[in-house]
Amino acid sequence: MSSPVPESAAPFAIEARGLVKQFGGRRALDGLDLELPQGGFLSIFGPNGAGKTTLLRELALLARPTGGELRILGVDALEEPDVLRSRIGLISHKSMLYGDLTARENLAFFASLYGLEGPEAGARIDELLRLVELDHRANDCARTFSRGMQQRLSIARALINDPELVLLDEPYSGLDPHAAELFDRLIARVRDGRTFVMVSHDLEKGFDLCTHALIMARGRAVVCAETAKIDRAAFRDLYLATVGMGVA
Amino acid sequence: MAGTHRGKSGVDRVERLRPSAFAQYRALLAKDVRQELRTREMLTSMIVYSLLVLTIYGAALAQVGDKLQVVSFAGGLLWALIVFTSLLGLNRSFSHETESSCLEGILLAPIDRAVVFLAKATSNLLFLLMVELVTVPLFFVFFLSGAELPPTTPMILLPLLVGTIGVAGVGTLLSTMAIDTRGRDVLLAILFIPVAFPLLYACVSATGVALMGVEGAFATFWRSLALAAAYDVVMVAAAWGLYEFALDS
Amino acid sequence: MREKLADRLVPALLAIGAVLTAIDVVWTFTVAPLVQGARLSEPAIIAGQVVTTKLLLSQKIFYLHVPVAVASFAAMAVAAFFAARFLATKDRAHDRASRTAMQVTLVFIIATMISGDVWTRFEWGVWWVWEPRLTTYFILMLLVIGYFILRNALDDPERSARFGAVFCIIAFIDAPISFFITRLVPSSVHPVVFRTDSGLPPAMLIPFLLGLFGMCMIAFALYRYALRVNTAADEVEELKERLEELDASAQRAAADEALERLQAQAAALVATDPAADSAADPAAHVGDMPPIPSKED
Repeated sequence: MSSPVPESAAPFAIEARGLVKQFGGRRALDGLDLELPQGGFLSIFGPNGAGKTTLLRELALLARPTGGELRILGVDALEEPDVLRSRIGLISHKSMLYGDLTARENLAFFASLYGLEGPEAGARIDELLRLVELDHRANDCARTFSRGMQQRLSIARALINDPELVLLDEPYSGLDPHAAELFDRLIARVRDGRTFVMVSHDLEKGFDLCTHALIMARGRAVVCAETAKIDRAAFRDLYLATVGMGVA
Repeated sequence: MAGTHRGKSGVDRVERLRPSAFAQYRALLAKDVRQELRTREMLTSMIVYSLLVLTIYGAALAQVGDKLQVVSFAGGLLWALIVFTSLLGLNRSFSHETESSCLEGILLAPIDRAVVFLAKATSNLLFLLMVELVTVPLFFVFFLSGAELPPTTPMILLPLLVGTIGVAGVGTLLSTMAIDTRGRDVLLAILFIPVAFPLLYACVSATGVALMGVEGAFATFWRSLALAAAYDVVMVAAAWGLYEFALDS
Repeated sequence: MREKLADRLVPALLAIGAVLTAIDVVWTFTVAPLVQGARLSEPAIIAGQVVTTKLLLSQKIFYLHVPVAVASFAAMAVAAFFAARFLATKDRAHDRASRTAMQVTLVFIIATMISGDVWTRFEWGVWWVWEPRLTTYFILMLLVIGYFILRNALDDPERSARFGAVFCIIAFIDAPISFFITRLVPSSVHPVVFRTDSGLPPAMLIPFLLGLFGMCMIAFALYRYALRVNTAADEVEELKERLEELDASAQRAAADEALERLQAQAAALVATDPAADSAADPAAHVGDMPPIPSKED
């Protein structure tokens, strides 16, 4: 794993080979293979403890796999995580926002961690606030926001560095149907050729949004396929069977 | 490097810069200070707590009539006050970071983990010093107002500064590890007090000498201060180096 | 291979260590003369008497106390070494070694505290003084106890190991600093005892060294033995998890069936498309030994 492959030669946004996350006898990931083309939208399903969150944390470079290969956006994630970090964004069910800072201050803070400062950052923050329809509340503390507004602000936070890969960790939890719909609309607006990976319990929503679907159990891929080539009912059966297995 | 075309969302592309560590440090520090000035959570609770400790001292020393006697162990009392107050503050220093997983948000960015440590240790140092600015004069008013203090008294500022640096440095590492544990308040005390003991020992000695102003004892003052400073250098360096392992990786 | 040899040596080491220590003790109490081992910096009232110097019968315990203390610190050095190795490699075996060495450290520190306290009682007529050696060992004991409390407070074994290693290294650095600071900062309250090691007659170096080697051998033997126990305990844990996994195999039959059904469907749907092989082959996982389940969230 020396220098990163030029982007043109990397059709895959994510390439994982035999990914393992192990400590002692426990394997959170057990030889997972995964390929996702650039611009794709992958939904990850599976029972609790199947390793979904572990996989997402490794894609976010918050945790290191203990074995296997992982290339993200054509760069070796194990060799050069710092190069990649500025090209990845994460939206979680936790807002990752400071309740006592205003919306604008929150975005400015995270922007400066990515080296964005001054008027350029200010312009980008304004743009993002308009995009998530929070420009009228820019100077209010994040604590005063509803759950849905916080989630929208955390989309803006995750996009502050203009990521090529956006990770979504259970983004719907705690959102009411209206807020969830708004969230979907926003995600559709910011697709823009970015690659998305989402972990969700909501099979219907997840299946509608995605181009690729992955079912995990016991740290392995039960199935990973393009949604266009998959029968929806059979996929649901398989998902239910996997969740019902009770061994994960 | 910014990948494919953009534009549909109306958000421009961003040039990928290598962020400077100093700018990140400044941003982290400014964020902590701004937040604390807005809520004053840590400062208020520490100051109120120190008042309570002073009240207990009042009861404990009620039978000691002679101010001179108090002077002879005032250094120890002062440091006990500082250690207990600091423990409370250190426990709180990560409450904002964990409230909605903000710490993860920081770690997502291309930031050196040592910068996170330095910024947090600096903000803790600032807040501890601010609290000392209130509690140390109060201590003097309550317990030493009648005593004849030697002209060397202002020299206690040196051990106060050196000691607080060590407390903030070691405390930042230990409180990071204690964040997500069961019973974290007690755990931080269990980890922190034995680790900080040598520093406390040296600082009490230096403070005591300055308060008593004994002729010819100043060799002891400087030696204690030098030892406390040596502790700071070694332990802060160790905490700095080990910090990345205290964060999830 | 080398580890096997070390394990075989355990009983022999224990025996030799015990014999050496016994020789040390017997030699000390029969042959060693009383020595002017301690001198006070100023006259002090100890046990109702003004003294400036003491004839030390209790000096004899020095021959037992110091070897125990040295062994405990050596065990801690081993723990810190493996802690650093663990942080570098994330290999669980190093964590186990580090944890085991800390257990041995705890045993020896408690032995040090007891022997040191007996020493204090005889030397100064009090049960406790904040004397550099005793203080250091007291702090060391608190650090080691803190280490185990920290590890128990963390549910995730990986984090428990990582934080434990960090704290182990911090404690290992802190202990000598504690010793030097308590020794070098003059205390104005208590008389300072200058331990004159010249008070150790040259002939007595032999029993002292015997005790030292004996204790280190015992420490090493205990470490190897405890390591074997801990390794076995970890293996039992893993086997238990595997058994639970096997118990659930009946439920997996349904899932396997569903897998095959989907496979057939997917194959039919994408038969014309060469990209069909992007779907992982689920059959490959079916026959395997079931993996150990993960515990997350």
